[in-house]
Amino acid sequence: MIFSPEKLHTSVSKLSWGPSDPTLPGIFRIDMEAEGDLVRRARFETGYLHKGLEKSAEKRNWFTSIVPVDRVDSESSLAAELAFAMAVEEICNIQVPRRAQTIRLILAELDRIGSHLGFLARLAIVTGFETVSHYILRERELVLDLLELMTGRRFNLGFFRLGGVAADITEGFIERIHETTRLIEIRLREYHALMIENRAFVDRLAWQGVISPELIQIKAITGPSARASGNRFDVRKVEPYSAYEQFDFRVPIGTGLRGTIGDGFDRVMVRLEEIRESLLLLSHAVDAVPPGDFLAFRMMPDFTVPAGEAYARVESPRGLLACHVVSDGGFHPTRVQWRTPSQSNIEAAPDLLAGVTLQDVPVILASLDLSLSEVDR
Amino acid sequence: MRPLLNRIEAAFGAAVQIRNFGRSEKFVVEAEFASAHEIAAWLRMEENFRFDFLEAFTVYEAKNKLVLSYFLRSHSQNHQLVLRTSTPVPGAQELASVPSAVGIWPHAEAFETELAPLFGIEFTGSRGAGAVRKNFGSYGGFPLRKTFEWREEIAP
Amino acid sequence: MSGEELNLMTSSAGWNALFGLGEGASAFIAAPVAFVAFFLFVLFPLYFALGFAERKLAADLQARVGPNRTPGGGLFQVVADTLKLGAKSAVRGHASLDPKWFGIQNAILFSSFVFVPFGSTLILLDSEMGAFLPFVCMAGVFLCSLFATEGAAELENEILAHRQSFLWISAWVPALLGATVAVARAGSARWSTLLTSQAHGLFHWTAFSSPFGFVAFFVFLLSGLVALQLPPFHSLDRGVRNRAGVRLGLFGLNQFYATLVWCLLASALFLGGQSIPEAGDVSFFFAFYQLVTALAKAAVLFLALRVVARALPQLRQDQMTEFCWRVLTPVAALCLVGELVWIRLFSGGAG
Repeated sequence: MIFSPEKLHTSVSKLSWGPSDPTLPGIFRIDMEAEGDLVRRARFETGYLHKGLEKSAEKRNWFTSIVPVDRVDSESSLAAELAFAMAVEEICNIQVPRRAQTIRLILAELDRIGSHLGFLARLAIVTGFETVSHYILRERELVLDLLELMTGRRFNLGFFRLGGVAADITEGFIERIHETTRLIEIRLREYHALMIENRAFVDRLAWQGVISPELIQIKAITGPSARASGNRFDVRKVEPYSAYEQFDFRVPIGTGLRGTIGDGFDRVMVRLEEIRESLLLLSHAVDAVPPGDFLAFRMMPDFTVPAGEAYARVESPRGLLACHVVSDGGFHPTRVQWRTPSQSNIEAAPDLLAGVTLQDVPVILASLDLSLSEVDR
Repeated sequence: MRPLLNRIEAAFGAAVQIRNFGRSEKFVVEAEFASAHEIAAWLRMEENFRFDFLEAFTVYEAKNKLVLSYFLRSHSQNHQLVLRTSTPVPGAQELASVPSAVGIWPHAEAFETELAPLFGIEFTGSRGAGAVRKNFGSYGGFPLRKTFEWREEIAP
Repeated sequence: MSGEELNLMTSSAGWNALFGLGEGASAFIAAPVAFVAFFLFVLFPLYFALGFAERKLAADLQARVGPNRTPGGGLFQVVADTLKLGAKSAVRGHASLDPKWFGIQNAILFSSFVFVPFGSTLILLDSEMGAFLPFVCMAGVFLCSLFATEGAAELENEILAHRQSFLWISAWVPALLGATVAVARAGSARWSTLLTSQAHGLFHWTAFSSPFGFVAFFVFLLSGLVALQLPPFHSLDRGVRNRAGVRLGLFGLNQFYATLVWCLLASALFLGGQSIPEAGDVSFFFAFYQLVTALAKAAVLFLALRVVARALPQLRQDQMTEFCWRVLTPVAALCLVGELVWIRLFSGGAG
């Protein structure tokens, strides 16, 4: 047959996308070898967003050490703040008040909802579904408004403190949460109809970028991307922190609804379900905020942390995020090192891109929900 | 978990010391540098442990030593452990030589490729940069070492 | 001159009337005048107006405001954007398009003005194969786009060129079959015949004369958009990747013109054309009415397509190819056969 592959002349093209490319999920470079429009091999180069956060932390005193922490991931900054605060509190043996724990939970779940909505919007844009992306960003604005009501900021929240949170619950915050959760619950049903039941959208994601259990093991993938492949690991369940042990919630996993378990479509479904669970968790948590203090103690500029170390982990919207803090008893941290979910998840991306068409590259990368800010720090 | 840790002591004797990790209830196995790689492999394969998940690999410098910590988790046995070793900090422009853990935990590559240029560590037995290369620029030294000199301008 | 022969006089009488050139004016004078006047007084204003309308409709659909900075509530936004692009430099070098083939492509595209029917008296070239000339033009535009991007890094391989060719052929075939349905209904591929045969009321329109005509209309419309790589079947912003400045502005104009012309052709083949019964003399007002009707129908189709494009995700090229081969082509073939049978059974064998 005239079009049989062995009769066609082929050569390998070398393509380079990025570091600033509208179709990529962040600032990094992909060097690809492609035969026609099939990717044969992909290599990534990151580091463009390296901010030196870990070195910067060593130069600061403990009083200001939490300030740059929210730059680990600007979009979902509270997870990094929480991990750092928990690690230092463990070293100092600080008992965080129950009220503060619950406020932390509420804000962390709002952060999770905002991050997942951002993921859905980015995926919609990459698949050319810009109308739905606008709808989703409209709902994300409601979440950001809530965060602004409480913290004064929309991104880089900087609200958690060592021993609690920066301020108590704002007047009207709880009522607004109830309104917003009800509205987003309704909108989720609309997204389901617009996206999940849209054949063209499903065809772009089903069977694409399948993450196998073996790949999860090899690359240490965590978070919704791993749960979409059937891995149930969720730090909130395995090692509950803040006030998570008080509330019951489900951890969704992928079911291969349209394609196969662990494909891009399952990663979307899992995040939609996680938004639903977070909304449920929120509505229970805001009604169960205990009385008490929002901060265990007021930290002074000459605050020091006794010699010791701690390793705290949280379930960030993208997966397992951990912080190892070491103190030698001085005014500055000896070491602050992060273990971020995107740092591991991005290692799986080159394997997933091998053998796909060029048009699928942005879709698969978007479905992994990578934060290059987390990767580079 | 503590009774299980006796197996480690039984297997490696004086090469290990086990104590609590910080204030937590978890344990840290402090191993001699020469034995650390062997102990890591043993922890990965030993039936009662099966530490298949290298959750994090951290490095810090303290008392003129580079302290390497492997935060391990076993999904099947639901255990957690920290394996620790240390090596002296070499000269300002010299690389420390550490056996790579990629052969034991493939996902160690993500941590090693990042920490190598920042701390000046050569992970022996590693294949080098994998498919994801970290390019933090050139600083004329190893930025995360305590001896690194901050300068007004850093040459690209 | 018989109606069977190449008709340059009657079919372009409307252009003569519009520009006051006299009934017997040569088409060789009418053509350039019509071309220039069309572009200056019709195409560019439509480009700006429909561009604004599309963006405002899209904004309403997407729960946002849309253009609102320029005077008139954002009315001149497309004008401002075009001027802005004109002030920017074009991309040069390895990844840019071959200017020679880019120029030839534009020439072929805009030369379609000659055989596009704006009305039964507004056709510069009315030949026996008039309805199929757009397909020849489409082939030329596609080939030029292949040659123009040949030097670009991403398209060095034959396989990728073949994939694009497969896509184009997979769309070209059902579009051609769909047009043939209208030709079969009218009994001729001559534009004037096609238009006048639909001039006797709504149920004489090809789209409403039979269920097969109705379906063929949608097949023709969708296939043409796929073949021309127009929204919603354009590839993900790759078209703008190698273009900047004036070329990007020209690319936008090309897309608009191609979409508008395809909508004109669809309305001419399926939606009654632009003729009115009992034409009488071709006066200025008659010609103007035809032109306005033609453009109004095309504009409505254009806006409907663009709004639908905003509401849908994009397909991958191989998915589009599969859609064309597995759905559009068999449906188009079925429509053609069905139309022929329908004509035989209900129209006394006419056509």
